[in-house]
Amino acid sequence: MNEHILDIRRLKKYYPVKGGVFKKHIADVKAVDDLDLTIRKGECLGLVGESGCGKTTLGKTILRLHEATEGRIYYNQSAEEVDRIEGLLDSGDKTKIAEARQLLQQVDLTKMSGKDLLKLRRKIQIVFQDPSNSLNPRMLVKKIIAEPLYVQGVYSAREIEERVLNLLNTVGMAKEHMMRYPHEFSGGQRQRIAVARALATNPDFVLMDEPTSALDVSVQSQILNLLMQLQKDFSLTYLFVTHHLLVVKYISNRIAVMYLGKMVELGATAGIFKNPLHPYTKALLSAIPIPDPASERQRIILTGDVPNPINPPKGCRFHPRCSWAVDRCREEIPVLEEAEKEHFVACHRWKEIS
Amino acid sequence: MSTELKQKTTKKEGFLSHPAVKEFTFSAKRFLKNPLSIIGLTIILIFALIAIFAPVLAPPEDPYDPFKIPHDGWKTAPSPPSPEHPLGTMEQQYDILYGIIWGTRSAFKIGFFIVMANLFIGIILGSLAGYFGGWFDEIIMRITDMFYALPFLVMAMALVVAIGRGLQSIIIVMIILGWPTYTRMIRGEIMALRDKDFILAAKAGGAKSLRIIIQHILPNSIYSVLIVASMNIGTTVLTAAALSFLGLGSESGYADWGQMVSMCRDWIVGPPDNRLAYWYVVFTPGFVIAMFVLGWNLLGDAARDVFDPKMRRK
Repeated sequence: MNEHILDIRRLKKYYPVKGGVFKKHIADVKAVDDLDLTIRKGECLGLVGESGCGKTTLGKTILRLHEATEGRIYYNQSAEEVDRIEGLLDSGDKTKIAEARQLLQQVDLTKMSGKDLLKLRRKIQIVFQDPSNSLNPRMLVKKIIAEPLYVQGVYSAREIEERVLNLLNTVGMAKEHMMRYPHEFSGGQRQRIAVARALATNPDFVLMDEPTSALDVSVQSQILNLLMQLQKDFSLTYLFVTHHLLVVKYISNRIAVMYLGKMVELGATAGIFKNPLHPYTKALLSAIPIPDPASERQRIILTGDVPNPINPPKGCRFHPRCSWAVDRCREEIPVLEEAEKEHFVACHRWKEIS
Repeated sequence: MSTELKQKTTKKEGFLSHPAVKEFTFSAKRFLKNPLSIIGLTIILIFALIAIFAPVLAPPEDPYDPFKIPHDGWKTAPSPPSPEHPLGTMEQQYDILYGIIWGTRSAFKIGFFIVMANLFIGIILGSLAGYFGGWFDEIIMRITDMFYALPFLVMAMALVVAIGRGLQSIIIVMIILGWPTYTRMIRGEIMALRDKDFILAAKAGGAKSLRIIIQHILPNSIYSVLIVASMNIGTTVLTAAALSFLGLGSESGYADWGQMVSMCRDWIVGPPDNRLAYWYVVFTPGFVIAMFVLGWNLLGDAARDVFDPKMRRK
């Protein structure tokens, strides 16, 4: 059985910066830099980090809305197969690398095109942050939900009609909503429509790109509960991108923390909340407000801003803002290592500071 | 029979209750509440009726060449309105009323033809340039820059002279020179929409570029362009009239407003004792041109308030 639905290896997404009269390539914005991440079947992986750290870029690269600069995203492959291909790529032997390249055409979703890509689109879907932007204002709800089905070209008109109705019921809406325009709905309802569209083609994996942050607080929990229910009913896998830590705590099984295009910590939700290892994660968690005015707690306040991703700091990317930074942090890039079981951290000094 | 009737009525209600129709009736109602839009609409409707019923209102002498204004004798000086010629005559006794009536047809022809052709070219080139960007965009935009750098009227005159004078040449030249405006406008609209989430969502669903442009981008961007186009029908006719006035239009005696003003160039000012003796020869076609332009402008302006998705429901 494949337990990994997505296996992201050394993924890079650079946006070129062009300048001058001739649009010369002068630099890169390193939005996602050398990132490894596996997403397990059926889990909800929370992806957190501050604005501009590359969360959304990572998501959109998985969706093939942006093209990856480098790296591989294996879709639905066993761990052994992935390791075998990675081994071939790392072997340094020309024929072996060529063989690996051949294999990648089939399994690496960053290299798919044409029919394969269209099929993949069925299995990988997205729910955007703001439903007032993600629904075409001049399309009927019926057409919006039906579009992915229609584009696939394998469903008959009647099947599509039935399926749209089912989907609407699934997300808690009714038949009479089919013949309306998005502007006739409230924010929560619109997000339900967006969810229905994402589920239309029976996906395995849905990228949730901050699906609740544009909604009223009262509606957020409704949508979260709906998403959790749907995950159970349709055995979906979520990558839940957000910067709202409590939402992530509520919905995720595991949490990945990103900082400036790099993964800094990855582990089970409970583990991370109980025992954060990376100084950045500690700072993030200490920023969660506690609904008790009497409680006293030490807050870690980070100084400075996120450095410019065009020219990220050498060594550990967090070192300019880290109070534990030593010379080693300024020189050497820390790798993700397993600190506890299933709990990974990319920090040179996690042992000393925990 | 009653069941049949019932079915028919429900079907009709079904059509009327379709949301697209509802949206349209909503817009139409708002449109008709605005007095300016009603004035504009009335003006254009009157012109349309005149154009449609031209053969009834002014039966042509030669049915195969209805745009030839009949003339009553060879007297050089225009004659004032009289029972035979209700709006008077131009030099060589060309009937002004006839010219105005058949000139309406010319005006619609000029306006619609040029604007439609420009829109067609503009939508295709603008969509491709705006959506795909890259070298195609670069080439198209540099060409439009070139067109913008040259004064329109001078270019138009030079090209008409090169092709050979006549109303047809004016139309061709105005199509050649007119498309960059529309291309630019559509490109801008499309670039603003290209990275919107609903476009990305369509991509994530697997929609191809052509489908995205036709289903998602154009319905959201075309309205403002259509509205500018409707306003431009008037201005286009005005520009064509200007070119005609400069002597680049059809041969004299052709029913075209610009041509009529041009024919009467020598009679704008009367003899020294009565400067306004021939007021009717320039005033009448001039007034008609002005009304035509005004009508389209009012119509376009009102339509913008109602149909533009960005302006409505505010």
